[in-house]
Formats: sequence, C-alpha cells, structure tokens
Amino acid sequence: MNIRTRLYVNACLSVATAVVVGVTLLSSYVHVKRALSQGRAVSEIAKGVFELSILTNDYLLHRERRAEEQWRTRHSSLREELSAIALEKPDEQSVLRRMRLAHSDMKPLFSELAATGPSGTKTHQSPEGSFPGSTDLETRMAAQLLVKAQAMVEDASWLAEMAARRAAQAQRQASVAVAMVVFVTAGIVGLTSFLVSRSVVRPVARLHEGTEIIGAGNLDHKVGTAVKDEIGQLSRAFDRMTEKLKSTTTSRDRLAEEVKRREEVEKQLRETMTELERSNRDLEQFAYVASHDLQQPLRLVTSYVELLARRYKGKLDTDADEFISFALDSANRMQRLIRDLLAYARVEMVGKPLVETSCNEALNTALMNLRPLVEETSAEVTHDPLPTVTGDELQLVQLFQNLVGNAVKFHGPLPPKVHVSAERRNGEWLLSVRDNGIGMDPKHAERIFLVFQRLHTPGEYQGTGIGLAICKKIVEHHGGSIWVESELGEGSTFYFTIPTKGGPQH
Amino acid sequence: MAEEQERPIEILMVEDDPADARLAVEAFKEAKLLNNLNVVGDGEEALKYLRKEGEYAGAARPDIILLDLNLPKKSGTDTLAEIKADDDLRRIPVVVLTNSDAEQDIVKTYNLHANCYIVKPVNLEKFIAVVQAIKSFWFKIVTLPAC
Repeated sequence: MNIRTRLYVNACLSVATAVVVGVTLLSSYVHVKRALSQGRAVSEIAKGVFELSILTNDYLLHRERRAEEQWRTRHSSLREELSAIALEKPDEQSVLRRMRLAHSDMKPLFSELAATGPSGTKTHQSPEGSFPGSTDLETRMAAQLLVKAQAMVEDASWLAEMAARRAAQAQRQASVAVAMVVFVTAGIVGLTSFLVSRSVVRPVARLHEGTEIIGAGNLDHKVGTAVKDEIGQLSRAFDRMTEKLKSTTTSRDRLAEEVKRREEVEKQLRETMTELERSNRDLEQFAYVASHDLQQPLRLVTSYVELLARRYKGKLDTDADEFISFALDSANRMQRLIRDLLAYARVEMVGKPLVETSCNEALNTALMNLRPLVEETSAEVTHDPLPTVTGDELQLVQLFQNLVGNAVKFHGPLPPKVHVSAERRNGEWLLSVRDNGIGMDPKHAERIFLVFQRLHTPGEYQGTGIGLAICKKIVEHHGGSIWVESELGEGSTFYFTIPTKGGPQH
Repeated sequence: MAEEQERPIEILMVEDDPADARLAVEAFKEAKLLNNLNVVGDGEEALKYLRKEGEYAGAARPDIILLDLNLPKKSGTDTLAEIKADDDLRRIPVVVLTNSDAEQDIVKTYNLHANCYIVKPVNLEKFIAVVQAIKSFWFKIVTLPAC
C-alpha cells in the first residue's frame, strides 16, 4: 500500500471516527435531554397532582367558590399535562394510564360534591372528625377524592423517581460513550502515527543516511528497500542514480586512466625519440671520428707505399712492382671511401644554420670543381635560372656536384648532355638534373640512395657508392626529398625539392 | 728558388708519431731540400729545444717550426700560444701540420698567429709538394724576416 492510499485511508478513518464520535455524542445528548425533559414533565405532573390534592383539601374544608374554580382550572391543566406526556416503559405506561384514570374519576366526584352544597357560601357546620357542614355522603365522596389524589401523588412521585433515574443512567451512558470514543480515537491516532512513522520516517532516515554515505564517496552503498510505496520508489530511484553516478564516475576514472596511460606512452615515445636521436647523433659522431681517425694511419700507409714505389720501382722483380701497385690502388680507394664517409657524416654533424643561398652560385661552384671531368668527357651542361633558397651553400655545392658529376660520369657512347632546371610548386622548389646517360632499371630507384650501394663495378665506373646517400642526406637536411625517374638506356632525371620560406619544413 | 742553397734549413718538427716524423724526413729528402731536421715528441720538449735548455743547449735556432696539433703533455695550440708569446721566439715561422681540417681548429690556430696551416698531405707526392712550398717559403723568409 503506498503512502497516498495510506493517507487516504487514514483520512477516511479519521472522518469515520469523527462521525462516530459526533453520532455518539449527539445520541447521548438526545437521550439525556429526553430523559431530563421527561423528568421535568413528570415533576410538573407530580407538582400538579400535589397542588390538586391540596386544593381538594382546601375546598373540602372551606367549600369556597374560589377554591372550586382553582381546583377545576388545575384539574383541566393537569389533564393536558397527563395527555401530553409519553412514556416508553410498559410499567410506567400502566402507571400513567392509572393516573389518567384516577384523574378522570376525580372530576365527576368533585362535581357531585360541589352540587351538594352551595358554592361560595358556608351553609352549615360539619361535625367533628369530618368536614364541617358535610353529610356522610359528602364525607365519603371527599374521602374517595382524597384517596385518589393521594394515589396520584404517589404514582407521580414514582414516575418522577423513574425519570430521574433514567436521566442519571443516560448521563452515565453518555459519559461511558464519550470515554470510549476518546479512548478509541487516541488508539487510532497512535496507530496511525506509528504506521506513518514506520512507512515514512524510518525509510526517510535511512535514505538520509544513504545520501550521507554516498556523499562521503562510497558509491557502492545501496539504500535497498523492498517497500512498494513512494519512499520505496524514491530510494530505488536514488539507488539507480547512485548506480548511474558510479558508472559515470567509473567511466570518468577510466578516461582519466586512459589519458594517463597515453601520456605515459607519449612520454615513452618521446624518450625513445630522444634516445634514437641521441644514438643517431652518437652514430654520426662515431662515423665522423672513426673516419677522421682512420685517415691518419691510412695516410701513412699510402705515403710509405708510395715511398716504396718511388725508391724501389724496377729495382725488385715485377711481382713486387705489381704488389706495390695493388697496395697503392687499394689504399687510395680506401682514402676516397673514408673521405666520402666523412662527408656523409658531416652533413648533419657540421651543418650550419640555413641561410639565403643562390642555387645558381652553388651550381657554378660545383661546375668549377667538376671542370676536369666535364672537359675530359666533352660534356655539355646547361641550366635554367635557378632560385635562391634557404640552405647551406657548401652542402648545395656538394649536392649539385654529386648529381651533375654522376650525370656526366654515367654517360653512354654519346657525349654527355646535362640540364638543370627548376620550377616552383606549392610551397617548394622542384629542381631536376636530367641527363642522356645510361639510365637504370627503375627497380633500383630506391636502392641507389643508400650508403655503399653501387650498380656498377669499380672497373666500369669509379665511385664509392656514397655520393647519392650524401645527396639524400643533404636534401633531407634542407627539409625536402629526392627521387629519380629513369629507364635503362633512356637517361635519368634526378628530382629534389627544397621548401620555400614558410613552406613545409621538417 | 733558382738561388743556390747556402746552408741547410734548420727545421724543428714537433711530432709524436715516429712514422710521421720519418715520413717528413723522407719527404724532405725526396724534395732534394738540404735540411737539418730535428724532431721532438711533445710541446714541452719543443719549448726546451727552442730555449736551449738542458740537453738542447747546443741546438740551433730553427728557421721554421713544423708543429703537430695533437701532442701529448702540452698540446699543439698551447705550445703555439707560448711560442707566439715569447719575444725571442715569435719571429720563427710556424707551420701547423695536422690531420684535422675542421674549421674551428683552423680558425683557432690562425688566431694564435700560426703562420701557415697545412692539413697533412694524404700521400707522399702531396707531402713533397708541401715541402717544395716550404722551401720557397724559406727563401721568402730569408728576404722578408716576417712571415
């Protein structure tokens, strides 16, 4: 039963109690009132009967006209009173009937008595022991009248006593009824309070306790009540809310955890990156130092082998001359390797800040360095106007020198023709070095940019296999990229990009 | 260079690597330059030699100093600084011979008034060319006392 129903029932019960109380009080009041009014009426009658008996005596003594008239008036008023009264109890009713009978009997007796003597005047004296001036008949009639009056007085007294007793009883009953009603009402009020307390106050207190516990952070707490009323619904709704809050909190916690985890991963990644950069730097440093320090003993080896050749060529046998020649060739090749490796390591190691650099000048310097090769091969090198870019001049010279040098070196039967051009496209310069040389299989397009990767034997074309790796490193150092488009026997075009200012930077 | 050499050039070589030192001797020989090459192994020895201290009491004042930068005890740059701070010695031309072609090394030694900076030649032929250059250099010294 929910609280609304309970309150409704309570209200009905209260109204019913009030009605019962009202009805009980009203009926008690009516009872008491009727008992009292009956009592009063009976008392009136008793008084009337008593007065009539006195008047009878008075008249019998004095035989006066006044007394006779008073008697008659009283008698008729008494008749009215006797006929007006209604009584319930049979014994009382019979007494009343007897009284009415006696009353109606009195009148002819009195009239007869009045007829025997003149009224108003005393005509004769009655003997001793009787009414003065009366005859025996008169005396008997008077006696009858007095007896009847006396009987009526007694009956009226009895009735009055009965009425008084009834009134007292009604009052007692009313008191009992009121007491009982008060008792029952108190009981109902107490019970209702108890029930309301049970169904409202205690669950509310529990709910309150629950909010305190949950407010303190324990989201696992359940108010948990099986009651079906509004407070039950409220507490279940509260539990659902807590559940939801818990899941929200849990998902928030999980989110925070995820964020933390990602931050850690990111941190690790950064650390790894830093570590990688460091190890990369270390490696470059190592390559630099190693190649630098290798130069010294190699220089001595080369120099002493050369000294051997100078002093003893032709003085030993032909084998010795050949051995010395091979040793010298190898030492020289190793020197070139080390020099190129050093150049490769230096791109990052000793790279200067990038500044405005003219590609035209860089290319011209490169061509100057390449002059012996160009002249030897009768190469024709042409170029478009080249842009000014943000770069390292020495590195750009090296870049052009390597690319143009390769283009001239890897020529076919025809004299080499090399063209350098430039075009601007979204945020960067695209430069290209095109030749009419031997070209290559496109499948090697990636490999050739790796260190020590060569497509030819030293016998065919000289080189250490580092030139293009250096080019790649220089271009990447400038924030660009490098690639080649080529077909075997169709010549090659090397492209590289250099970002313009504000363009994509690495 | 066409002039006849009157006396051997007095050369002090400061070099810790005997192979390098010997190579220099041979290179001077190959260059047919009459020379008197003395080799010391470190900077402290070099200064003792120049100041004719101890065992070097009878040492001749060199016409030219060939100084390696990587030296034990006293480094080449410190030795150079000390030579150039000495009123008596500062006029002797110093040719710095080194493996290093790192730019900062070059700048540093020029700041210390090295008269010449030569990266050690990669082979004998180039070394001989360097010696020839020194030879002409020495003749210039004869006419022009300052480098």
